[in-house]
Amino acid sequence: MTSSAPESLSSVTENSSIRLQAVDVRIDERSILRRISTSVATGKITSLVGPSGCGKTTMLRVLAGLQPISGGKLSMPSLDMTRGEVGFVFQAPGLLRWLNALQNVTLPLDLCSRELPKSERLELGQQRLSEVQIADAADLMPRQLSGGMQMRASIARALVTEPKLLLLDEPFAALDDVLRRQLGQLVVTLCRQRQLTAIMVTHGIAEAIDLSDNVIVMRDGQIVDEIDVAKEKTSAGDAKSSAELHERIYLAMSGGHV
Amino acid sequence: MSSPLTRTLRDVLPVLVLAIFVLFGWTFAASWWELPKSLLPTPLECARAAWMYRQDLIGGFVGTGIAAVAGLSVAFVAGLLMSIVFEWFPWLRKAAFPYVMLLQTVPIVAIAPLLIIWSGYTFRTVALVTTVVCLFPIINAASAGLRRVEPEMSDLFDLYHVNKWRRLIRLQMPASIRDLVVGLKTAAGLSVIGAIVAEFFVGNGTRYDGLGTLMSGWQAMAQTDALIAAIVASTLLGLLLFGLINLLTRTLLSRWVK
Repeated sequence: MTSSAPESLSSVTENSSIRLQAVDVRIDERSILRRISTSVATGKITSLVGPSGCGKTTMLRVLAGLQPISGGKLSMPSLDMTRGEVGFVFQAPGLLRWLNALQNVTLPLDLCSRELPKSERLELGQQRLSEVQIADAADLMPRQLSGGMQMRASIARALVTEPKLLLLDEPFAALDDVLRRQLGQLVVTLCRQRQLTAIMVTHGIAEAIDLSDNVIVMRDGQIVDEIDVAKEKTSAGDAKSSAELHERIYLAMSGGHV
Repeated sequence: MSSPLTRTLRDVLPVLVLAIFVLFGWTFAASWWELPKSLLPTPLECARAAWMYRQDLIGGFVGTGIAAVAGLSVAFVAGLLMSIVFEWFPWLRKAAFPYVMLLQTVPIVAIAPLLIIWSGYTFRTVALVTTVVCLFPIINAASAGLRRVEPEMSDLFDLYHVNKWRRLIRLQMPASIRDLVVGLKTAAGLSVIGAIVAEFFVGNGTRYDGLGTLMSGWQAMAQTDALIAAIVASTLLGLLLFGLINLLTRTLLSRWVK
């Protein structure tokens, strides 16, 4: 499966700004990521897929600066974490239960070092809530929101600082299929509007193919395949290429076992 | 569907019936075996004693109440500060926490005489003993609360490189309120016990009068009816403190505690 990787990699590396070179991560003497080398294209949506425990979330945490690396090099030029230039949507919504939806959304503006008047912060928060289609829920407390609404608020919170990089860690894992699809499309729309670089961890192969421009396949702490989805789709009929891509990703994830 | 009044009656009625049954049985036992008043006075005699000594009882109720609230307040502030210091300096927590556990295991009757030597036969000593008794549940609850932060919330604050002061104020303190309330309720019950036990040692021969001093005086004079009235008063004091904390948390902290 890895035979096609260099070919795909070349297309992914074009216009890239985030670069990992032989990155190792060890946690409690256990090797979680092993010599990861890749680049992420700016303004594109990239999915990280792979079986449970393969290191997807760790890789996302490395990019967010939440997990130190044990070896190798990570270059992320021109991103200031303290000014909210990186947004993160976690697997669980992680809303602060003592703040209402709007206060939760504007929280990053209070936390990162930006001097904005309160009225402006509230306006920005309200705008983000409208974009994720829960404008009416601004005054509601997290316990009054459904799971889908909480996740929408979480997405709005990640976008409120207008980040340059958006990281999403299986954000739709706990949602039903209909909501998954709706929120997936919503995230794509919001990212495209902003020409945002987004990296999303997902279990779903179909979701990765549908939503992303590039797919990075991981297994046992290593990258085993990288695919330029948009290019692959245009080179063949959409339905046919989707089926082929699905099969290719599945085989890479499973190590060739059917 | 039953009305709220019916539901309340259904809840209260069994309690009232049992109380009447116990009072009747008590009266019956005292008169059937012709027990002396100094051994077991009837409930009516206790009520008469309560009326006769009402001024002493009210004074003692207020005195013990003030000592309990003072000790509880000092324990709350000191316990919270110690928990914060333990949270920021884990090595100190490691070194000191076993000694904090001793607060729970050292019997209050053993330390009260020592504190009298240091602090004298004063109100201050009563409040000090109460503080020692209340400190452990507060530290225990506050320490657990400060650490009870969901990983996503913690990651969010890490993402924006929030300093430990802001993390404490914006995340850990609000997240620990529920635990603090539980600790405060436990400590409220203990505070009345601590104050009364301290008054047993401190009370006689000083200007300070609490329920504990009244109890030890009436016990020496075998005034069992007044002694039982004082026991009822101390129970009411414990209930009042517990109720006040409940009311306080429900009104002021409803956003956090729900």
